[in-house]
Amino acid sequence: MALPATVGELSAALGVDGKLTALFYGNEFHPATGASVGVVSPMTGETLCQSGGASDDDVGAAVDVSSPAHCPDACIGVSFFASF
Amino acid sequence: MLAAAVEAKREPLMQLEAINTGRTINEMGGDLDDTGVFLEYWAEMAEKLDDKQGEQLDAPSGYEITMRYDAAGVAACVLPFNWPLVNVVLKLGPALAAGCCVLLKPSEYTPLTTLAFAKVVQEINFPAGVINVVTGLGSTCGAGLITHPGISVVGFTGSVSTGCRIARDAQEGDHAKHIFAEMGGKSAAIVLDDVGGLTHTR
Repeated sequence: MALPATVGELSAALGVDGKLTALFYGNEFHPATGASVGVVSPMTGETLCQSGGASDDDVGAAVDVSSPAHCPDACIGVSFFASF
Repeated sequence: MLAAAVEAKREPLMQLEAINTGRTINEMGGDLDDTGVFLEYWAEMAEKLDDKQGEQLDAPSGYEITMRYDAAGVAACVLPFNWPLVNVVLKLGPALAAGCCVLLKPSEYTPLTTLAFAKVVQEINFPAGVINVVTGLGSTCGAGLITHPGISVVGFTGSVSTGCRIARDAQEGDHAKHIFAEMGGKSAAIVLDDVGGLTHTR
């Protein structure tokens, strides 16, 4: 097992480079409009990166896109989420 | 499909989770295994729930009782710092199986693999709006999320004090919600004086 790489290297490998400060809703990444929050390494105490701080408006936008996606009529389970 | 897409990113997810949680890389193999197993388990449970739809129950003569299961609505999932990715799946799986869209709110300490998971969701073109992630502090993002009138279900894992506050605050303004709170589980860890190099654990 190789030693852990850096957050930057791993976010590039995972395709989330530049997206660790973003929010995800409606299948897209969106910038957060609240104050960002430092993510701290519990091993070293150093700040690894910043993550997004969702404002009330951001949360509202995320709820707004999830509500219409919500199953409208008694279609529970896998019949709705076919790709699950 | 989701489980396979997560498994395809196993190594970098393990490493990112280890860096962010401070747990050992060797433990992360088990976490990734759990993530895949639980996703598949809940997909199976979704089918079993579908099978129960329209079940006829015993009824008085001349009456008919049919069970109809409706999805509760949008579920807010407030997640802990200790097993971030496993907890994503433990909350998201049953919610999706029951037909609920989810808004995941990872701990502000450990949001990284949840965002990486969101990238997987995007890459496999999961239905838009079904799995969503918002990040930030509990006092701002978390509070705004659980009190939002568009949320019908709140699932929480974390401390007793936060769980009690969520149960109380989520229904502010008489917006009734289903609350599921898994609280506690803080275990004492005794660090003796002869242990070196652990300045951040004191």
